[in-house]
Amino acid sequence: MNKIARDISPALTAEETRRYGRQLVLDQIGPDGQEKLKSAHVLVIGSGGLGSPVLLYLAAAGIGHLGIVDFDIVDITNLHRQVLFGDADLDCSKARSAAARLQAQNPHLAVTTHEIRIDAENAEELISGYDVVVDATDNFAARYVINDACVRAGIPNVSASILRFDAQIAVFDPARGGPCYRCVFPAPPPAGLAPSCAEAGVVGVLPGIAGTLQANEVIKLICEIGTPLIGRLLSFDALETRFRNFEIARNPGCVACGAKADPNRPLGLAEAEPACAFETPVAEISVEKLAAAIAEGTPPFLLDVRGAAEREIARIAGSKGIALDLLEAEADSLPRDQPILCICHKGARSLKAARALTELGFTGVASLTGGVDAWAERIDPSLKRY
Amino acid sequence: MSIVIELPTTLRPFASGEAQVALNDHASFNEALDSLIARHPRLKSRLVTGSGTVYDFVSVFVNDRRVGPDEFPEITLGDGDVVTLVPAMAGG
Ligand SMILES: [Zn+2]
Repeated sequence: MNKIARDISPALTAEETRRYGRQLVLDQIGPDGQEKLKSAHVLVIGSGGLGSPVLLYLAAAGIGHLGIVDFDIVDITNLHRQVLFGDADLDCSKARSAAARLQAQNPHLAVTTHEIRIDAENAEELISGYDVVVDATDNFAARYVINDACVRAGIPNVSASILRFDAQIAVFDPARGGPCYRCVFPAPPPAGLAPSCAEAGVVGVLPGIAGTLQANEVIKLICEIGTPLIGRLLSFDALETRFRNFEIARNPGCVACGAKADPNRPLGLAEAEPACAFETPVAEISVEKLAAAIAEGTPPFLLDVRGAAEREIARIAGSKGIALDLLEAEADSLPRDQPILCICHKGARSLKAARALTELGFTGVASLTGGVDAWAERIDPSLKRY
Repeated sequence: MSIVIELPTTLRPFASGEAQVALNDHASFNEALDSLIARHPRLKSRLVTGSGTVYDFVSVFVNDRRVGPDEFPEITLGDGDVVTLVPAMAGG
């Protein structure tokens, strides 16, 4: 499967010369450059938001051989940004749907599909034989595996990533003197600190912008023209419409590309990445304990972080209401000399509130386990439950 | 003298929505980082590890040039310097 056919004749046919005529006339490309594109083997890992424009433009531009790695199927939530696919592709294999679309677009193209998830075991074999790898994946595990495999194989990695309204694009290529992904980001965020597009959202045109920039870098690398995006991290802010070039350099101590890099180190992230304590621990107390404290005349300051409509339904007597969203802005109105007990419906928002107040420097903050609901169930049955 | 720390979109909610934080009289990067966290304590757990160093997934740039963690103690900041924090993102 990975023995890539190198039997496509690089010489352009009359039809190909007409098809690519508008870019063939460019001095920087010309027939020589077009033949390089025709001979090129490019592996695109991920055929989603970024992969869609990368594949569409590389196929149109006359790349001779495209490999597509994607294990996923097309979901309706993909369609606002994954422009390779339409309603007819729902529930179908992304790799195979993409291959069919691309071959309809350009019959000169050869496509290899790999319907698997790239990992430490298969990465080196997957990328072998390709001239350029495009990282269009959507998770850190894949990004570190791709980086490590590309560094070891000496293949340039044309990388982009997106979130909400922000994009980053770079060509990682230590073989040409530039840094690798790990030189810039030595480790991924701990779980909980990195929202995915599914949680955080992404504006649909953003991968279109970042992916076409990746396709442009691929063409430049193959034709050996211009200044590749090596040693630079390009960031794009879609809300401000602002591009920035950041200067990035090799890290001599990099575990992937540094002088002392272990050639036998397993690719990608270690199985057990150290779990980082991202969430400030907070105390929780039960409704029984709160009832006892009230009976003894030593209640904490009761802070209800639900919205007004919820407080209207049921609330613990004597509690003050500040909705969670407004907590940081109104924190100055809270006492610093008294323990604060945060309360919500069932105990989730109150945990967040207690954590936020602790981070703001309040001491003795706790969260009521089970919230008003537990209070109504076990202490005060006269309260409505919802 | 004054320096500016630029925050990424993902960290702004923990800094009262500010995209840029201007700080006065900071000679070193570590002092500037301490002041940033003192002003916005909720940034702390999202920006620095338990041992007080910037997380590896946040790249630090001074005037658009990356500086590695080894260099942090030696970085001196002058009037008008811009420190930009760029976190790794994985979306695709
Ligand atoms: Zn490296």
